Amino acid sequence: MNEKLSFQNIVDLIALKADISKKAADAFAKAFFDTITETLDAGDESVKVKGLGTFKLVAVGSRESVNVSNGERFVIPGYKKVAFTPEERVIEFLNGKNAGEDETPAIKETPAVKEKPSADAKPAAEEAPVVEEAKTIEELIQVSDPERVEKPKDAFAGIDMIISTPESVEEVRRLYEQAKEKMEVAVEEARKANAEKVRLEKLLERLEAHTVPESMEAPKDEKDAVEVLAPNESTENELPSGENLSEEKSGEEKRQEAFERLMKEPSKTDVVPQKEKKTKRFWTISIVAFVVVIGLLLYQIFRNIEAVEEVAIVEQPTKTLAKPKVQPVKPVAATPVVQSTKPSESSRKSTESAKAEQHTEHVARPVNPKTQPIEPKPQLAKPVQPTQQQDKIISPQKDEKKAEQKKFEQKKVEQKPAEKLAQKSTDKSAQKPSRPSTHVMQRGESLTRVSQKYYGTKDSVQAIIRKNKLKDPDNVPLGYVIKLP
Amino acid sequence: MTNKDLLEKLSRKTNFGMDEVKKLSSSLIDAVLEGISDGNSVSIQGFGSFEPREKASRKIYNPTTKTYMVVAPKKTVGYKMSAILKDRLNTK
Repeated sequence: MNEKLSFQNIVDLIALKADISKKAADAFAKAFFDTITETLDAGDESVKVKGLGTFKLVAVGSRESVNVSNGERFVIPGYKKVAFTPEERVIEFLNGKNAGEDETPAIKETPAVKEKPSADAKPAAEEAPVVEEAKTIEELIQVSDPERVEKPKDAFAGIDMIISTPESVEEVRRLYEQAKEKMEVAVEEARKANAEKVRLEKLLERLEAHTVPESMEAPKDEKDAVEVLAPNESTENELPSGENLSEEKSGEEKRQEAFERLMKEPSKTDVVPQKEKKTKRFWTISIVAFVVVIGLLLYQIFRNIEAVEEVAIVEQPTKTLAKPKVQPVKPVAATPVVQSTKPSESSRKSTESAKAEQHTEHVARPVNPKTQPIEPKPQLAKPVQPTQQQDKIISPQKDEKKAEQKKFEQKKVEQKPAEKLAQKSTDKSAQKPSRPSTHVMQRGESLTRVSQKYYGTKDSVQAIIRKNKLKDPDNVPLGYVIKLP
Repeated sequence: MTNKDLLEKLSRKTNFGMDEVKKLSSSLIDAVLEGISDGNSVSIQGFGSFEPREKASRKIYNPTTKTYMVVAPKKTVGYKMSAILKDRLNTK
């Protein structure tokens, strides 16, 4: 245990096992490990040894460390190492054997416990339960036979069986009550639907009274027709739902009750057909009237839509006129500076632009063509134009020149920030080599990339992690400000 | 490199037949594993050392069943390559 077996011990073991001389065993063992090293040295990535595992060449990357004594950073160069993963069988062998050693007492105890009763009590204990089981099964079969056999004969017989017991009767009652409730709900729904229909048709009749004076006779009969329909539909709804539920789940007595109740309602329908024939004509009339009314409504809606569209068309030309002012936009650097110079104007825009548009419709037309070719403006200058054009409206041609001058000035202002940006970018590039103290993490950036960017190697990753005390260096949040060591 | 390749190379080197090489290599592996399973470490000059390692039991979380399970402790073989081998592999 915990000894260090040397190569010689292994050779001895091989010689014992394979029944060969120690010299041969030694030579073989040397050759065995030599071949593995040779193949790995030759650049072979992995060597599989059956029964042992896989030797694999793994490259360890270079990393940066700090000299403890003087705090200087130095790079530990990368190297190749041999990694070994044991075969599944080896692990099983090791754990199986150990498990056997450790748990043998526990395992031995359990079989002993099992064996003892089997030896003594098996004949008595095992046979008895078998007999008992057989008896019980037979009993069960006998007991269950009448129940199980009779039930499948008829569905009704089964229902009778269920009803015969007091519990099942209660269940059936519950089911029946549920069915009743459903029926009631259905009836209510039907009534509601009918009420709605009546309302609609009354409305139709009123409309018809205005449009077609002849159809004044219709309403009364239509009402009748609606009334006739009402019981029809209600019974239709009730019959399937009520019958199905009652047939399936209720006893014969209750079925009769259900039928009686249902029969009362259908009795109304018997009267219906006679009326129906009369009302058919009025139905057709009402339908025609309905169609006419819908047509009228549609016509009115269409008129409204057209009116709206006309308004839209009136509005559109103002927009289309206003747009071309802005369209010839030069891609001059649209910068925040421009915005800041005209915040008041832009605020005015919201209130005055509406007015401006109205004015521009009439007045700005002649003005725009002049201004367009001279000063193409960036998009941010949009708000200015309407206000300026208003000024023009007040004092037409003199102000135009002033406006032009203004715009030229604005252009210069716009160019300046662009220059500034360029300067900034140059500043940044100048800063790079001098190493800023912090770095903001960008999307898709890793610490290795940051290290590569500022130090030229990816070996400083560890140093960055240490400096920032990063707990999860593989997952640095976006926008995280990293201190650079 | 597969086991077969290794054995072929070995048989060429040692002038043993393939069957004999198989037998010898299996006996070699057995010898090493036996030594390890007895709790001994086996060091081979110029190659590295094999040693028994014990993995402690650990809790794992199954995200699908949302239950924690305990992985029983187990024993494996650890290998550490020798300094000689490291030098040989990294000096070119």
